Amino acid sequence: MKKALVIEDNEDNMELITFILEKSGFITIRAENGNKGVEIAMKEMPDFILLDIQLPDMDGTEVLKLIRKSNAMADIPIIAVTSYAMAGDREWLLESGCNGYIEKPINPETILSEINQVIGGRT
Amino acid sequence: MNIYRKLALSFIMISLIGIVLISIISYLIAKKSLSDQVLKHLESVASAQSDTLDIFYSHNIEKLELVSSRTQLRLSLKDYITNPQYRYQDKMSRILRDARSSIKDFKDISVLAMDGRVVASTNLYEIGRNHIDEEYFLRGQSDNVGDIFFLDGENNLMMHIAGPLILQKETLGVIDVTVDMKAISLMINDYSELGETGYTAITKRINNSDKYLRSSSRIKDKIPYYFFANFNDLGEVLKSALLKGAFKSIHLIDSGGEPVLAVTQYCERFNMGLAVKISRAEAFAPISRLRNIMILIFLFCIISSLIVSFLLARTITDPIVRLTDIARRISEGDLEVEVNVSSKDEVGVLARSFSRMVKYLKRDISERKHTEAEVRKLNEELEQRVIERTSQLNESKDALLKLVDDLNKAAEELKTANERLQELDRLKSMFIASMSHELRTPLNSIIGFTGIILQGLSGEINPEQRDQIRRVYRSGKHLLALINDVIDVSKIEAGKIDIREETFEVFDVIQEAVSTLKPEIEEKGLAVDMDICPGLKVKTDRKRFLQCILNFLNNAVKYTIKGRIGIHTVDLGDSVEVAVSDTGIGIDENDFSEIFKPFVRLDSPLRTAALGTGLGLYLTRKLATDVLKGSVSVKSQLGEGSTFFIKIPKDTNSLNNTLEG
Repeated sequence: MKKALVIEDNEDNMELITFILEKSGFITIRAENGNKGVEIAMKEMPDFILLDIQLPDMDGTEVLKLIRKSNAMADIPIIAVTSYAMAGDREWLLESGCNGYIEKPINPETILSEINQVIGGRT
Repeated sequence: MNIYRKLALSFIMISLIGIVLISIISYLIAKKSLSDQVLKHLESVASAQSDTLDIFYSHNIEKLELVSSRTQLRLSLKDYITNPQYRYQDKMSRILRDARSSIKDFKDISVLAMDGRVVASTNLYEIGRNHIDEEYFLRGQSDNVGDIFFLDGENNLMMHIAGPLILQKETLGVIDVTVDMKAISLMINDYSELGETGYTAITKRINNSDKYLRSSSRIKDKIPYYFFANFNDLGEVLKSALLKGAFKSIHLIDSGGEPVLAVTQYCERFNMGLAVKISRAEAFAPISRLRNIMILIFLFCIISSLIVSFLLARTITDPIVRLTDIARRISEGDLEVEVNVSSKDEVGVLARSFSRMVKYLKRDISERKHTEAEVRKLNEELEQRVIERTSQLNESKDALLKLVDDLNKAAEELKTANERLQELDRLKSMFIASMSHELRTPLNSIIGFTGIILQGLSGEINPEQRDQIRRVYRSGKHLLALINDVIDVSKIEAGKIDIREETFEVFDVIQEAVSTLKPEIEEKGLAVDMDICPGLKVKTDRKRFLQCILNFLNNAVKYTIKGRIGIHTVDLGDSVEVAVSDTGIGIDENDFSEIFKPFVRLDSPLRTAALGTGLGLYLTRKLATDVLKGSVSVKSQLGEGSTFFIKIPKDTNSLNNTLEG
């Protein structure tokens, strides 16, 4: 069973994403802000991370940088989740080190295909 | 020199020259004719004298021959020569005395023998004297001579007449007669017809000597007498008489130094010069009188011409001088002068013209003065107005300054307002940013969860529930699209939209758009025709380009109930055109310009069925022009379908100035 860390501050979105992932057979770990996300990631070492870009304590890209700094977590696939993106978000997110990109509102079909594409491509 | 003097002088000069010329000419003519007349008179006198002398000579010779031809005398001489006895001498003397008594002018008659000795004579003292060397004896032996002059002891002019005494061709001796020349003297000294100074002069060379016998000058010597003189002392007139014969002149000088008019003649019989002369003073006395008269006339003429000249000059110049004076006064500005020149000539005409001119000038000047007064008045008014205007201007200036102050204040306010506006703008941006997050977050939940339910991830639902959930899901999607459009429009209008350029294939974007709308297309059962140029790449904002294509395609699906949707690309070289066509309801041509405006939704049977924001085409146009630097257009026929075009440059950077649309 693959282990997914979901870093998301909005409770409804967290519920939605984890529901879809669990229904699809993933183990989910929840973190409601950036600091917790980095902490849990270090502890749990998930197979991949779904990272909301707009977090209350820090920006999603900072979380990304912190995770990528750690040697242990440098290779964990990270899929960015954004609301209706600013122009060119996709590009700079991928440049910043994201492996995938999902736009809100979350469509159950597209999120699964994106995840499979990212982690499938790795293994 | 003024005109008056000039004129007067000219007149005087002209009249003087005339008078002098006339006087000189008439004087010369008078003198010439007078001298001619005098000379002619003298000539006639001289000629008469000469004739008298000739006659005198012939008479003397004839009288001599009367004596010498007496036979008793010659016979007695013959006897005396052969037999010198007193009685023969006495006989001869008696004959001689007889002859002398019968001939008036004969003074003494002598008979000379061939040895020069006087053998008989009426003068007893002569008898026995020898005259062998005398001229008359020498010449008288061969011919009768009657031109030998001499003076006796009383300075009376005497003459020898001598001739041979011939008997039977033998010259026995010479007879000599002394003749008193008193007749000649009387004739010479006859001054009748010769006036006060006129006289006759004679001169004759004494034979065999340098001496000349001559008569005295009446002018110089007063009393007539004879004397001997050298040739040089003869005087010019007598010299001329001796040398030139007949001659007349008015320019001779008499022996006494007196200028004379003279006529000379040479008497051949007597071998003697004769001159009749008269002093020039006397001869030309009439001329002198004439001259005096003429000088008087001349003086009179000068005086009268002076007077006339001055009067005439005054008559001519007076009006001119007066006019000059008037002109001067007018030039000094005095126009009240009276032009009182009334002559009838050209000057009068000038004066009248002048008078008229002055009148016009006066009128003109009064007009001008009037005009000047008006101009001055106007100037004053103008000045007044300028002053008024200036004060007005000053007021305006004050007002303007106040206005500038107000403006500054207003600018200050504007600045404050602008700052506030900027603040507001910032707030608006913040609002939009938070809206995009805060509005969409709940929508994401709504759409997300309804999506899960519709997919059946949360378990089975009945068809009624499914239909209701789908309505929620669709409304959520529409609301999200609406919010997204509003955000995009406000971003574009605020100029805050970011442009992210990348190079991509047009085909990929169209494919993405079609796959995005695949559920709706399939739901309606529409066919999709794609005609895409293979490998057509552009460098632009991919997301925005996709958004445009998506909007067109969305509209095509929305307004087409059945039929087909077509997507075509055209490579235009520098740019690319994408056309999205449908077989939908179409658009009225009049609405072509309307549909690209914001919040415009055309009235159509599908309006309620097809959800829309009214911002789609407006946003597409804005994106196409402002972000993609291209253009949009539409072709349509009501009921037949529509085609929307978007044309964009292949590289926005390389097309700086050749934008289309």
